[in-house]
Amino acid sequence: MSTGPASVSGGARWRSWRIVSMRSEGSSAWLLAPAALLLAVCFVAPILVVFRWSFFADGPTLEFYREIFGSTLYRTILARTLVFSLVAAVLSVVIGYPAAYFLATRPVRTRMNWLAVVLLPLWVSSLIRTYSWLILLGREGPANMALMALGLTDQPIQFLYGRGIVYAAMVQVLLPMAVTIMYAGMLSIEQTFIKAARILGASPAYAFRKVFLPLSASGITNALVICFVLSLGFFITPNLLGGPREAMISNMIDRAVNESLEWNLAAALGVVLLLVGIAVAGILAFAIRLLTSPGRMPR
Amino acid sequence: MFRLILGTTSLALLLGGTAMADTVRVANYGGSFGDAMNKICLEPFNNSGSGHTAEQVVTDNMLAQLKIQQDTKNVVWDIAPGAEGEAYITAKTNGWLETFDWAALDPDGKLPAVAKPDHGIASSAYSSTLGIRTDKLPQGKEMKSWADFWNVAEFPGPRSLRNSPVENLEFALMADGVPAKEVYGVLRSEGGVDRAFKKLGEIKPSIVQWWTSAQQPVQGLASGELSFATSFNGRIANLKKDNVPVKIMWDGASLNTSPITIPAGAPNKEGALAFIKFCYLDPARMVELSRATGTGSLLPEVVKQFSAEEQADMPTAEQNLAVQLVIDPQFWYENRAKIQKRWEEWMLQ
Repeated sequence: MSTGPASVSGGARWRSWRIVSMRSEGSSAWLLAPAALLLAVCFVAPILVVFRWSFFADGPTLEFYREIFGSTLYRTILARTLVFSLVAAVLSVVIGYPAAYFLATRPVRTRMNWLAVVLLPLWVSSLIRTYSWLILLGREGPANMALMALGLTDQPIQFLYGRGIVYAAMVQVLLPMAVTIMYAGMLSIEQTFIKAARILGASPAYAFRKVFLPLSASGITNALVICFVLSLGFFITPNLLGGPREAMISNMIDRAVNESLEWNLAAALGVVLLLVGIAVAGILAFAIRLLTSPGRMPR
Repeated sequence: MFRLILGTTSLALLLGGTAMADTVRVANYGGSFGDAMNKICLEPFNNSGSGHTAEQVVTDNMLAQLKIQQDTKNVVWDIAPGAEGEAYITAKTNGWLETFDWAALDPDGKLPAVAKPDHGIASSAYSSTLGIRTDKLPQGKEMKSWADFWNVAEFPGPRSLRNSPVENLEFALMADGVPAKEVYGVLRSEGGVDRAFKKLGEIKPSIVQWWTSAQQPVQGLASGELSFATSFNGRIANLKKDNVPVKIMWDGASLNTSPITIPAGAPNKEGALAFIKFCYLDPARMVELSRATGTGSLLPEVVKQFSAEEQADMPTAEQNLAVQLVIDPQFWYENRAKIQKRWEEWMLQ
């Protein structure tokens, strides 16, 4: 992933700075070398091996791709993975946006404290966070006990092993990421732009919609794409909290790698997931740019 | 793919360690079992002056690791962890395992034949059993068979089975009235697998959890999320020690041996054999290991060391052996791929 909090582009970017940075790009390219080398060895090379496995068994073949696209099983699970990831990413961004706005508009002194609160969950491993749902929402867990004590239900509600809890747990894992990414984007938005809009007679809502929202769009895009891509690889959450109807593609890859030793098939599944993921992420980014484009406002 | 990358990274980390010639790398699944192995076998072995030092390597998957070590010709294990079910046959058939010279290892014939496959040692056994929360049973009733487990009207309550056709097809046939000894005969016959799937269809709506890791059903039994769930006998017995009102159903449980093996081309085969002799062929150590992990020894002299009460929860106690199904890894080796696909599709419905 090339996108990340560090590369989030802000609103105020001065033309002169851009020219300077472009001129010096060639001479400072070596700064990229350590990261590029690391990625080439640890990321690009293994992915090339995976690509090879997916196309070669005894000779070149498309049989693994034929198996994937020819079976209802893999098509269903692939579609499900995309839907789950999209829904979880959208939920995280929608829920996280107001929180990010809140953070970004705090005075500098208290901002860090709020940020720490948002980041706190990241200190706990996602495995433990997933397990805590099992305890919290179990048939004899505190949530059901409270509901029954309040007389809202006389039978424990089956929260676990369903779709709702998988979404809840996915969003819980993704939320701190979504918030911090959008927050970083919002920090670079000049508050004076909003003030200017207000002085020119825009209502707070209009100023937000026409000025702040478009300027925070790149943050939204980054958060959405990163949450989506992270969700595609979710493995523990659907495994522990969902039922077979929540199994995602990574669970199938796990089965193929570890149990049936169908590594070529697993590689092909990985390649399909990668390519479909890139395509959907691209479409997402494009759609957001279109939706939040400020129209006649100069950029 | 993420898992693959993780796998290769951990492998790279393993390779990064210094492989000393006299180190015996003993791989196992870690957890409480790994702790017990460490205390009962590894530490005493290292203090025994054998000239070898055993070192524990934790893995969560035996077969994939074994394959990659063979494919890359970079064998980092001297002893592989127990091979579950058909995994042993897969590994053996692919030539990934060293053969065992039993005449040299066990000249006095201390071990029964079942413990001595050609490419490993299966000195102990475990069972896939049903764990029953006794406090969740209807007043005055006992769940005694798979037919009872299938009887949702008489025994209501949330249930859990493993997300795998292996053993579940067998349990279903027994629920359908097939005696344990005839299960594989029926499965191999025309329509046998269909019959098992049909029976599984009856129980499917009542299965709230299809587990993939053996700790899931155990955790569910402990929290009360589940009333009846399959898991491995040792883990259910551990719940009992934690005072969870739970009972093991031995009738129709599935007895497994999982041979401990030496990967082909292991860097320290001599050390591996010394360790196996020290650990798995020593009755005193097997008693301790059995007590700590709940696995049942296949050495009759070891089983005799336990009290009647302890033997009641032991897979290899005489009375439990008599009522169990013995899993047939050969059947699964031949049919797993086809049945697995059908299972996954059945799960989608």
